[in-house]
Amino acid sequence: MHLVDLAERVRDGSLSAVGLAERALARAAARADLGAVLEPGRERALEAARRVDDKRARGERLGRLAGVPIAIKDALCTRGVTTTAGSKILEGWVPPYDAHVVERLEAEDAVVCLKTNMDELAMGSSNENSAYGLVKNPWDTARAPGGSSGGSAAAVAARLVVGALGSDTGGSVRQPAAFTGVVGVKPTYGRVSRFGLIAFASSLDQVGPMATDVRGAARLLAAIAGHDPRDSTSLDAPVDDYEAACERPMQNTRVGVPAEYFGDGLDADVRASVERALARLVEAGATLVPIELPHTRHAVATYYVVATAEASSNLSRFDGVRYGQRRTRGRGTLADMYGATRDVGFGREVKRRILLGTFVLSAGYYDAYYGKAQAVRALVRRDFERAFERVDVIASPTAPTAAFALGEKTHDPLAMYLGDVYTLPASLAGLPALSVPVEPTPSGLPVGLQLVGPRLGEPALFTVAAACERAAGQRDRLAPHAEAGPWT
Amino acid sequence: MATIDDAEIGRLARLANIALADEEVAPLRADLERIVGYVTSLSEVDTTEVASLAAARVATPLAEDAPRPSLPREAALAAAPATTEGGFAVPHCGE
Repeated sequence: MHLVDLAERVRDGSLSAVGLAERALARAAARADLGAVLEPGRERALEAARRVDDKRARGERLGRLAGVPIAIKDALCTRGVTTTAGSKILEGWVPPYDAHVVERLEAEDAVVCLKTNMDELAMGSSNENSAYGLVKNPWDTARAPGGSSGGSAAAVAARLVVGALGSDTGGSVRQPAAFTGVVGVKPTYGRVSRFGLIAFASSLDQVGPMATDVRGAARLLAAIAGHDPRDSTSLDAPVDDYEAACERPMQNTRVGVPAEYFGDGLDADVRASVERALARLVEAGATLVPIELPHTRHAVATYYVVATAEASSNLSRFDGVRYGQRRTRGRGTLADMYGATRDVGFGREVKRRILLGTFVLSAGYYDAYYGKAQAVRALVRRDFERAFERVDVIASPTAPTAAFALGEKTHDPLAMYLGDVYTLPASLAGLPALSVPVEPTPSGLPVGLQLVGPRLGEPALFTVAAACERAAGQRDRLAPHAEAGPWT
Repeated sequence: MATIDDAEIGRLARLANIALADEEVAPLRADLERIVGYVTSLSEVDTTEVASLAAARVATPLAEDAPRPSLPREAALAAAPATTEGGFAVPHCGE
């Protein structure tokens, strides 16, 4: 069963919210070996589930996510439930407030449970950077689930839950979705409030849903999207009916195919799978249009300048004063405390990015690196604007390979960064994008097709993604390490 | 192009308030040397047209400058490693 089925069963009383929450918690405990969950949040989940069941017993109408257990990335604050963002620097931190998206989920009667593992402070593409251990891919436990929302992706792929939230700065929802065979959406920048999301790079961060199917992702996005005055970048625009978009026919949809996403570095099996998916879109009534996005090859460099610059500023808040760990060395001055706290609290990838961000913002280098990257970012955005004069959506592989082996790239950070090449451009341009499973590789590993739309063009993405899902027939295919039992 | 040597790593670590252990410096230097070498490729991109593109962007709206309820003091202090007299306690900062 998928997300919408579960919600409707709770609404009609054939399933209870408490029963579903207990099942999700039991599944998470049974598959602790995957490393997907950092904190179950059991008490809060069961309390919320009881509220949903009581509401139904009183005859009140339940929300769109009635009783559905939803896992959330540990970068999202949950009042009373430990939140670490995968970092030692926040070990044991219990937030005094909920993220906006957590409030929205509960307003729709979802049951928030399972805080999921992630690359430390959302920095990584394999979920091997968590301070609390790596996450294994439910399709092959010797492989990475992708990152940084690898715990949320693995939780959905292993059917601990049927829906989850992640956050996507440069592909951190889409790439793990592709690696684990689930649907993952990065909304338009500003579509979902970032209030209560532990910040990485504020001009790029966006919370997004992951689900076992397209309609489930659509329903989750509809629940969390909308204006929030607590986030100054939150868009005050109406939220479209994403579920209706899933049912819309896609006749005459113009699908742009960028040459730059099919060049060197693209794995042959991934290419073959994506090309078959594109052929099926044509059979379903779409027209393929060759397009060019010429600044794609500069996206990785641009992103790793802009994102690390913003991170070096955002992460200055972790200083051992207001929350998290405090350490000291030397003479025990304030500066000694800052330095020791941040040395002990941050892992190597986070330090690497803070130092890079500090470098590109420092005197003498600012214009050559940060200023230049901002200028190239404008050109990346213009490439998309020109393309969307001719097409409705843009289709490409989500990642150049299927899930790679754990440990394969940990010693080469640049190789890890280059794997983000297809997801970064839409992030830099602030555009909506999603990854939908298409045919797997011959060895059975999931492959994701990425769809990118114009600003607030999520409905078209859902229309095309739903058509892909119907054509690819992957919706009910279970990972070897998934919990296969019924939810009842 | 910038030179990333141990002294530069030390300068960046001081600016970033991270007291790196000695053994952390060499691997971080090697990583940053490669990454900075890679991102320096941006210098090849022609960005002469960009000023007009940037000007066309929609600015982030300003928030109203009005008082709003915030976290109660006790909640804000609850997770602090050290507190004193209703505030955050920090070590002395003088030399």
